[in-house]
Amino acid sequence: MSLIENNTTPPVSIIVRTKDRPKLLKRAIQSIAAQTYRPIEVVLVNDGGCDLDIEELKTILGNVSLNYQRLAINTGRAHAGNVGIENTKGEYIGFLDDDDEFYPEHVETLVAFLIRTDYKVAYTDSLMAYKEYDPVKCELTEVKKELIFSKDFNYSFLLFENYIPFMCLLFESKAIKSAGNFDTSFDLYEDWDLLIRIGERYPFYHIKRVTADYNQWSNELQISQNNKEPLFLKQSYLKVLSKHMDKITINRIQHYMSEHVATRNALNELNREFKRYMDEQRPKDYEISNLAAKINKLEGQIVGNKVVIEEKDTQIKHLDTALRNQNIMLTEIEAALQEKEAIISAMINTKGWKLLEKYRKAKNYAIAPLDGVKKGWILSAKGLKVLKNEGLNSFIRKLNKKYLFNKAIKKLPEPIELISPSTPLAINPIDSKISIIIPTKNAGDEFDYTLRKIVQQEGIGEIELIVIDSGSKDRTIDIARAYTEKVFQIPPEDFHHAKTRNLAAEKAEGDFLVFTVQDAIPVGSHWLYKLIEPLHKDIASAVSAKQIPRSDADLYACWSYWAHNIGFMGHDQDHLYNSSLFPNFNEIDSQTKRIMATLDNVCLGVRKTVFDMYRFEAAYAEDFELGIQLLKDGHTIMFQSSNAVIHSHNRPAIYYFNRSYIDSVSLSGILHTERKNIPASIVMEAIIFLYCLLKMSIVSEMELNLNKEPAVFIRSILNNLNERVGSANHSPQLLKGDQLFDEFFSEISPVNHAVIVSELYSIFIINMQSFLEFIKRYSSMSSVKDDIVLSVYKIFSNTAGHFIGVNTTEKLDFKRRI
Amino acid sequence: MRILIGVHQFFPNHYTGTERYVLNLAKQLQKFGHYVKVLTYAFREQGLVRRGHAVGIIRREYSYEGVPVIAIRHEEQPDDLSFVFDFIDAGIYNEAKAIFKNEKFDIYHCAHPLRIASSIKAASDSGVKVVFMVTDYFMMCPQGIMLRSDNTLCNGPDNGKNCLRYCFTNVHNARMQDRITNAQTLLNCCDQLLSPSQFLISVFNHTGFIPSERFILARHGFDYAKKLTHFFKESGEIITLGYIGTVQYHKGVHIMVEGFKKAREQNPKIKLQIWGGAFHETEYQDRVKKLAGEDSNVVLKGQYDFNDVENILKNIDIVIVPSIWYENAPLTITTSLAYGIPVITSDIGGMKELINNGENGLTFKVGDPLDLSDKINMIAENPEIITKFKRNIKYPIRIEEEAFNTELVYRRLLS
Repeated sequence: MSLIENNTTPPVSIIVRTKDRPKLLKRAIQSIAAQTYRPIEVVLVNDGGCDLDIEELKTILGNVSLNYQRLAINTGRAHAGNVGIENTKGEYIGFLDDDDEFYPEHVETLVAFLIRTDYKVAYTDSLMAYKEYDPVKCELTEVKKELIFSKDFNYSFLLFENYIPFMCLLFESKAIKSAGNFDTSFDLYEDWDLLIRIGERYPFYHIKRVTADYNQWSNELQISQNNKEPLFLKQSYLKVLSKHMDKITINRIQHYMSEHVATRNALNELNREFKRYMDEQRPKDYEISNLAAKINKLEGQIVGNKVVIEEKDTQIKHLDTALRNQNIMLTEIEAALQEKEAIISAMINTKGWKLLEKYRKAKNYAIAPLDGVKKGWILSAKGLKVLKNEGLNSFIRKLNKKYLFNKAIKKLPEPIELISPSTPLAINPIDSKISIIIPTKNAGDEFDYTLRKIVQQEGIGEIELIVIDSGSKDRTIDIARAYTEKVFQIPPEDFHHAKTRNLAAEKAEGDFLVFTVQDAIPVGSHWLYKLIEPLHKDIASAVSAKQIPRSDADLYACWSYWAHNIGFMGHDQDHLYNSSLFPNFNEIDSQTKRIMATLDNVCLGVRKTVFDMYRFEAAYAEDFELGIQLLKDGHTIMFQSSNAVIHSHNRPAIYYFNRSYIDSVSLSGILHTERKNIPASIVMEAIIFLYCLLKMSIVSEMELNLNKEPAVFIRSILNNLNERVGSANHSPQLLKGDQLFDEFFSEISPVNHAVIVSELYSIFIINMQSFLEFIKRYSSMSSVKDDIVLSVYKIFSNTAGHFIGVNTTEKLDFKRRI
Repeated sequence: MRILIGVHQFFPNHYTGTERYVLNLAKQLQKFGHYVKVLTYAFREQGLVRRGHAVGIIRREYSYEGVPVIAIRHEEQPDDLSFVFDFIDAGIYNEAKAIFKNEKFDIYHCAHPLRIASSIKAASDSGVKVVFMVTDYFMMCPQGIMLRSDNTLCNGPDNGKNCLRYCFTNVHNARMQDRITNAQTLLNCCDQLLSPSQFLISVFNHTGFIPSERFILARHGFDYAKKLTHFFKESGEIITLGYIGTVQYHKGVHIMVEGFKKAREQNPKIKLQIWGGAFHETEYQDRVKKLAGEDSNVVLKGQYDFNDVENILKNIDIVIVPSIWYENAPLTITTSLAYGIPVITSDIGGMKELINNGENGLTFKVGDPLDLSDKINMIAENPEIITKFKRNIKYPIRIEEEAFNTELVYRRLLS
């Protein structure tokens, strides 16, 4: 009783709303009288119910004062509550419904807390008491009691769930009044709505102590939400949500939902634990059946919970949508109204209107069309009814539905305008004609795309497209004709890398020529501009840009570009090459020449006058040969790393064998490098020998290491191969095998064979080391699994083709076999 | 080059446009021979068993389609994580710093700062060059899309005042100020800002948030390798208009249906196919259905798989994109253009940027069904202009071009 002794006890008002339940009311009033706390006043609001025996209640209340408010008609809980609030005199306000009961220490517990803290609102716990009422005997029997809703204050939660029993709360009077009392448009959840508004300003404190019974009746006496129609409940719930939609931010939804997820997880965990327990107990058969039944029950609960969570989730989503739409329409109606008002006031203010006013009144009076008036009246009467019964929002919604959806044009603020780029590419258009030369054969449907990308290049005076086709059977020619008149056809057998291009160049009228191929795609819309600019400015006589792999390029294609551009050529930026740095062109080593004469017919730009003096000469590597000739005569060649075409192919391994053989033969012809004169059969033997060992290594490592990191896999193949090559070091002849084969191989000198194998092996290993370095970029096999073994064979094929090209001068034609 | 790409969430659990952008870029840069890794936040994922370098951070490394990924997460996930206010986070900062120190990246390319914003500062403090692809309006708009809670277009944060007024309550006042200050701090850590559209640059410039000089336009690429067919179809007697996208209010589907119906009064030989699910807005979808009414020429085809877009576009003569919000770099337009199909679209934002009225399609007054019906009538009465539009289409860039351009940006920063 320290509070009372200290004489610091502020007056507390308890508002009791009642209707037609005098017996229950008496119990409630008794529980107030039994409070350990004083002073208390009861504001009793009789919401249009039966007459009450006030004298009897006064007797029960003793020194608790009673302020009785009798409402003539039933006005609903919200209004009754407001009448109660308006009549309170206490510094604190609490509520008790006529069917609930406080424990004696209820008020004291709350006041004791509130007066020594800054909190304006606090609440305690209550027990849900299930009771049965026998109307004949007028007796109540308690069936069971349980603790409900004992949950700390969380505003996000409050927005979605009415989880604080209203009777458990005590408010500082100012907190309620400043929040604006109950919203009388609510028939249900008026208390929740009020809590949301108060909670926005002031946090509530949760005192974990049970101080009240929340009674749950088993029959029709109960007027609380449980007996109401589900649809009504849902609508009421939605109404609260929609009213407070502005407070429901994304993180609050997330916050709220995460609680649900946590509950669900906890339930799942519980379920799992239960299952574990079940497993342990399996030997005891009779217990199992017991536990299984329990599990079933739990699962049912979990499913039930999930359903509830899902339902809420959907509700929120639907609501969100509905609200968004509604909000927009509201804005629209308001705007439309303002507009109309403006028009009307403008009209009324005109002189003509004023002059005609009298006449109009008279006329309306005399000849008003009755039907129209009547119709109008009916409509507005309906509207008034909606307004009165369902409130403004609902009225507007109905109006929207009826008249406005079809006209739902959003009112927009002035749209933000697009500004033009502030840093446009510094371009002075090249006012020249450029001829693009493309030899074609069955270019495929993508050719249309490629040609469009070329003709749409920007910053160029005029583009002339020259297509020279050698026997296409697909749509190539049709596609080309849509873009240019200069489509020329030659028989397929006449095709020649140099001569065919020269022929096309003769037809060209441009100041500059660009040689490209049917499947090279320019990068960006200034590819051509960038390519021609150094020629136009006389910085270089010929220029090539980098090739980059397509997005569907295989590993080998990617590696070979990387190894060529970065590893061999050292190109990570633009380069200009001119032989004047060297005293004598012929003395430049062949590797440097290869780097310098970097022209490539996949993307090659050259001034026409320069080209006409040289033209292409070689049957293969004709572009490289042109580069050598230009350098010899002191021309400058440019390689652009900052400009590119997309061009790559996924080819079978055998293709690279032939291709690199031809390349190495052509290059040594152009560079006049020496080729060894070893019999082709010996070189081929070495290749076959190493190929067999490689196959064995790959097959055995695929079993062991195919699921490891790509680099680990490749390293394991190389280690395996190294062992095999080491142990079979001398020659196959030394191994005892098939007699006829051994005789066949005996013609080959063992020493020669060992040397040539180890030469081939070491070149292959150098390439593989580079591939190993490249493959480190990939952290798992998932995307390269199909590709990685094929890549090893392609590298071998490429190595072998080159190897045979530099080691034998015998004429070989693999193409026919391939 | 050693490149770390940061993104707020990643495959396999998340797969929206931004994750797709990161994956495409990472894979293509790998193909160019760069060492690429992805840093992401393991939002809502379990099983991050390894303790991170920083206190309170756990991590896991995995690989997605060959791209190595570091996924990090707070041991205790903060409440506000997905809400995005807290840009500066000691845990993320220290973890990222340790990553930059241990793995020696040359470039940090941030594709979305949500949840991992502090990694930008960590990169800058570690001397790593920072490239930031400003994918959406998130740096100035906590909602990310410049659309207010009441579904009206926003014209900028106005120092946070508009955010408080239209989307958040005053409770957030102080944090909104922090957000703006932190956003500017982070932007100042970036060596190069990229934008997928000129319009996004315009918006940041217009609102005074970032001057346009700080941006480079770097459009997202389309993966043409996945495009299998090339259409050479001429328009027939009946003209089929198509909508591809979710059926949501801000996508303006109702405007389109209304405009279409109006146009059909004059020109009966047109059809409209609407492809896309309701995406939570079933009520809106019902309204669209109701608006379409009994008209058998408006067909709601429902949900579609993005991999089927090719088959859908095969039967469409012209695509309509009627959005009533500032679409930034709309995928539907890019995809249509990649397939050579012209587009009719609203005359605002990134839509207007991609479609030049009368050149590769038509634009109509945003939200105005009457103007749209005029445009549809124009097409219906002169179907030959579809062929003209098709011829004028400039194909959107490829992912190879996107990666090449990005590589050039890196090179310039490192040189």
